[in-house]
Formats: sequence, structure tokens, C-alpha cells
Amino acid sequence: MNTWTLAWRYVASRPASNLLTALGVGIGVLLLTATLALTAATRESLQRSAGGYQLLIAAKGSAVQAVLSTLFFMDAPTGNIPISVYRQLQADVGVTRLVPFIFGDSYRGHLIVGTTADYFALLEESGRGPAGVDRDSLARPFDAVVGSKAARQAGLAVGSRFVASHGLVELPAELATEHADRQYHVTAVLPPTGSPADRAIFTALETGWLMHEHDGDHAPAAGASPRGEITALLVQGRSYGDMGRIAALLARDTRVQAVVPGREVTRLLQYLRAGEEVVLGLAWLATAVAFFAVMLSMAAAGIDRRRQIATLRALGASRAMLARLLIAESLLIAGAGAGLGFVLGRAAAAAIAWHVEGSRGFSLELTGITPGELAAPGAAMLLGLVAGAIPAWFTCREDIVPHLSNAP
Amino acid sequence: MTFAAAVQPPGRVAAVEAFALRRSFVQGGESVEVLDIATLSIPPGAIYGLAGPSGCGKTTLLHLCAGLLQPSAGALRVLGTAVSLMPQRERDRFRARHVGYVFQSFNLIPALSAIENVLLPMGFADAVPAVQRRTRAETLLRRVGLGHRLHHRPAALSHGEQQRVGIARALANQPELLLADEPTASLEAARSDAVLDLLIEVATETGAALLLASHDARVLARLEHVLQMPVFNGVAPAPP
Repeated sequence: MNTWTLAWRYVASRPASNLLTALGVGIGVLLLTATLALTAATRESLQRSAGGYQLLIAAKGSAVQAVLSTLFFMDAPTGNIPISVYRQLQADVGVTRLVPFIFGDSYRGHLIVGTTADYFALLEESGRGPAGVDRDSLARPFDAVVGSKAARQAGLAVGSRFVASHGLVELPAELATEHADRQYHVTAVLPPTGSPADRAIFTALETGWLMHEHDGDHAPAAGASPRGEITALLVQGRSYGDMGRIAALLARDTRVQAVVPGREVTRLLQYLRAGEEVVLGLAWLATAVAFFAVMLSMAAAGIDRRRQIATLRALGASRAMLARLLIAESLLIAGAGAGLGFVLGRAAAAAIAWHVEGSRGFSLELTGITPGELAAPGAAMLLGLVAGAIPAWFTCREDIVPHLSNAP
Repeated sequence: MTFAAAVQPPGRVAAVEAFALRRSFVQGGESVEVLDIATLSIPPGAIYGLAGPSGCGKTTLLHLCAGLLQPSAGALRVLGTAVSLMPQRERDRFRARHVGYVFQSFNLIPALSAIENVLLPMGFADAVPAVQRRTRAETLLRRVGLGHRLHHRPAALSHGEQQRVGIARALANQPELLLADEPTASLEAARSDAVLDLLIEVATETGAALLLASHDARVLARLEHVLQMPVFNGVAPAPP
């Protein structure tokens, strides 16, 4: 019978208290794993969705809001910018690709984005989007290219026709009559990309203007663009020098701002980092509490089993063997808690990601297990080792002879 | 006190030899001497009882022989080995390999079955090859009449059965010295006789010396030799 078998027998002989101790460890590891997994997914999602774009032109306002609204389709736009900016940049030799956006309407909670086929080319170039989207898919007004999740959730397929809601809020059918005479026609459904494009519906730039020219006495919805205005522009250039020149040029225009999306995402990540540190601090605190719980449990086991420990010594077990036994027990408890916490942490992270995507529209994809996540159960095991070693040291140094006495 | 040495068979070392062996404990800030033996020699394979009232040093002598206690003074050789001079780690190995211990209250590990309790000390000594351990444990349990109780835990066994497991466990590593501390004191008379018979039988079969501490005159009367232990607290030793 080896140390691990004996340790397991001892652990199994006190199932309730050991399970509670393991749960304590599990809660700490759960919090650590979930926080680290969600943080990594958030960072990955933000960088994948916004990194690599050279310049974003939007109306004056919050730069972070401009990035969230244009690249993540999450927030309200900062406003509209004159079409002249678009025309000016189209003529600039330093610009290699220019993608305009108009926001305004939605269908069953999915934002309708007026843009050009260059958007898909840009997604494809940057490795974020689907390859080979037919440029003719957005050739005519009211043609619609639907993101994979939007298609699934809204029940759209190629050939489907639908009527958009005015603005971003889904209205009851009897009230949503503004655009009833203007039906969208689905020309393509994008394959899943893991990007914000999955949740949106894309249409020709012209569509947004046509819709709101017919609004009559309705005021344009928030972010809706009258002809002569667009919401934002993504700019790719020959060089960063060109981008710097364009940004400097636009800085003179009080109506627009030039934003480097990567920089804003970095700033956003710094804000998130503060929150992450608070949660991680709490998680480590929970793990530390669990560490003391394991240590107390092992100390209690050492006291409860003084006579058995003395018996083992009388049978020839060395102090080192007994120390290994107590440490093995501690590791089994910590290991069970760490394993359970890790699995539940990943599950909790997946559930939270699903909830965030459903409620906020922010795509969080839990990718592979990060080294940080592996460090959480690893740290718990290390703490388990220490939590077992401390009482083991005291227990094994104790004089066993008084505990071999004959009281049953 | 001096115990006369019995005739020792040639070629085999004495099970226990002591000279000027003393052991004292500090109690209430004062040193209390509980054992003072001038000479002692127990031949190999002999069966000896240790008689005397509580506190006379019977258990202390057993603990010294097992290497669980160190003498305060004097020399002690167990199976020809100066146990008291060995480093603790070696004393542990020596105890595991050469000494079997039977307790009054059985001291079985409650989380383990009968056979696992017997397997346990085999892992401490490496005296029995790993592939033979289970077979040996089963054989020992059958020998003590528990072939049908191999996988029962101590709580499911009677006191008599638990002490039989304790005896089988003490024999696990084929020890040359069996130490039994009041092995029948927790048993009813009928079971006490059976357990004592078993102890004497297995000691005789295996050629192990048996040193059995008891204050029960009925038990002591069954043994070949009895050493009457004195007490050192001012009370005169009990008559032999």
C-alpha cells in the first residue's frame, strides 16, 4: 500500500469535511480561472476586432465610443461627419482603402450597417472576416449581407425579405411601420468569423440615405445619416506617415476626430485592467482563505489521528513517510478543489461570455487555456503542498509515545 | 534489578539484552525514574511475560525495545543491534523490519480493511517482495482465523477479531521479536484465552521471541517465563 493509496483512504474516510475544504479551494480557483479566461477573451476580442486598423474617422466626441460604435457595433455613434471628408480622402493618394459607415436602423435587435464591399475586403485582408464575399452582394440599395449570428437569431437566409425598425430599439409590429414600404433583400449570409460582423446586417451605403429621405416628418433616428453625411470612416494607407499626415489634416476640422483604434483599445484595456486586478485580488484572497482551510483541516486531521499516527510510527513508518502522507492528503484535497474549480471556472466563464454576448452584443470567445489559467490550479496545488507540510512538520515532531497508550 | 539470562541457543543472538538500563521521565518538573534494569537477556524465540502493576515500567521496556524511546542511561541491544545508538531513520527501519507490535486497543487504522491493515507495515519495511504481499497478508489473516473477513473494516469486526488482525499485522514482516502490550486486556475472558493461544502459537511457529506485558495473573500463568517488574515510586514490587 503506497502513500497515495493510504492518503486517499484517509481523505475518503472524512468525505463531508474534506469535500467542504475542497469546495473552498474550488471557489478560489473558480474565481481565478473565470476572471483570467474572461480577461484573456476580452483582450483577444478587443484586439482582434480593433487592432490593425490604421485610422478611424468619426464625429467629435469620445474616441472610445467611436471605436465601440464603429468597430464593435456596440455603442451609439458620436454623430455624423460630412460626406466631403469621404470625398477628400477618396482623392488622397496616401489612402489605399476607405470604408464608410452609416448606422441608423436595425432588425430584431441587429444593427443595420450601411457600408461598401470594401468593408469585407478589409476584414479579409486583416484576417478577421470571411474570404471571397461577392462585391455585388451590396450592389443595390436594400441588398443585405447578414452576419452568421444575426441570420441565425433573426431567421434570415439568402432570398429572405424583411422590413427594418427605425433606430436601434425593436418596436411592436403595429408601431414599426415607418419603413414598411421598403423591404431589404438578403443576398448573402456571412460564414461565422468570431468578429462583431457576425451580429450585424450590412447593406449598401445608399440604403441609409434612401431610408431617411423618406422619413418625412420623422426626425432621423440617433445616428441616422441624412444624404451628405456618413457616420464614420475606416482608413488604410500606404504608410503610417500618410496616416499621420491625414490625422494632422483632419485635426483642423472641428467636426471630426481621427482615432487610432489600437491606441483606444489599449486605453480601454488599461481601464479593464483596474477592474481585473480587483477581481483577481478577491480571487487570490478566496484562495488564501482556502489555503488556511486546508491547513486547519490537515492540522485537525493530525490531532484527530494522533493515535493512528503513533501507531503507524510504531509499525515502522518514518517521520518522512508520515509527512508525505499528510502532504499527499492535502494535495488530494487541494487537487480535487483545483480541478473542480478549474472546470467550473471555465464553465462559468463560458456562461458569462454567452450572457454578455446576448445582453451586450460583445463577442467573447474563450479560446485555448492560457498559462495564467493553468497557474491558478497550479498555485492551489502549491498552496495545498504548503498547507499540508506545515501541520505535517508539527505532527511528525510530536512525541508519539503518549498517544500509543491503551485507552481505546 | 537483575534478570538471569536463560540458556541461549548457539549461533543466534539474544532477542533482547540490557545492561544498566535506565529510563526516567520529567513529571511536574522532577525527574521520575520508571525503569532501572541491571542486566537482562531474553533468548531468541523465547516467550516472556512482563508482570507488575501499572506504572512499573512494562510498557516503557517494550517502547525501548521497539526503539520508540531512548534509554536515559545504559545499553540495550535488540536482536544483536544497539538500537539506542542508531539514528532515528534507521531505528524506524529496524522496527519495521524486525519488530512486531501488538497493542491493547488493537490500534487498527479505521479507514483500512483487515487485509489493508496487514499490508500496511509491509510497505514500511520492504522485507516482503511487493508481488507477494497480498498473498502473505491473506495467508496471515487465514492463519488467525479471519479468512472470511479480509475486506471488512475494523468497525465491522468484534474486539477479538480486531486483535487477531492486530496479531496478523504484527507478523507482516516476519519479525524476530514480537512485543505485546496488554494484548488481552480489552477482551472478554473467552476471547482473551483464544488470542493468547494464538499469540503463543504464531510466535512458536515463526521462531519469534515474544515479550508480553500484562498485569493479568491468568495470562502470565500461561507463559514460559515471567519477569516481575519492580516499581520505583516507593511501592514495593508485587510478589511473583
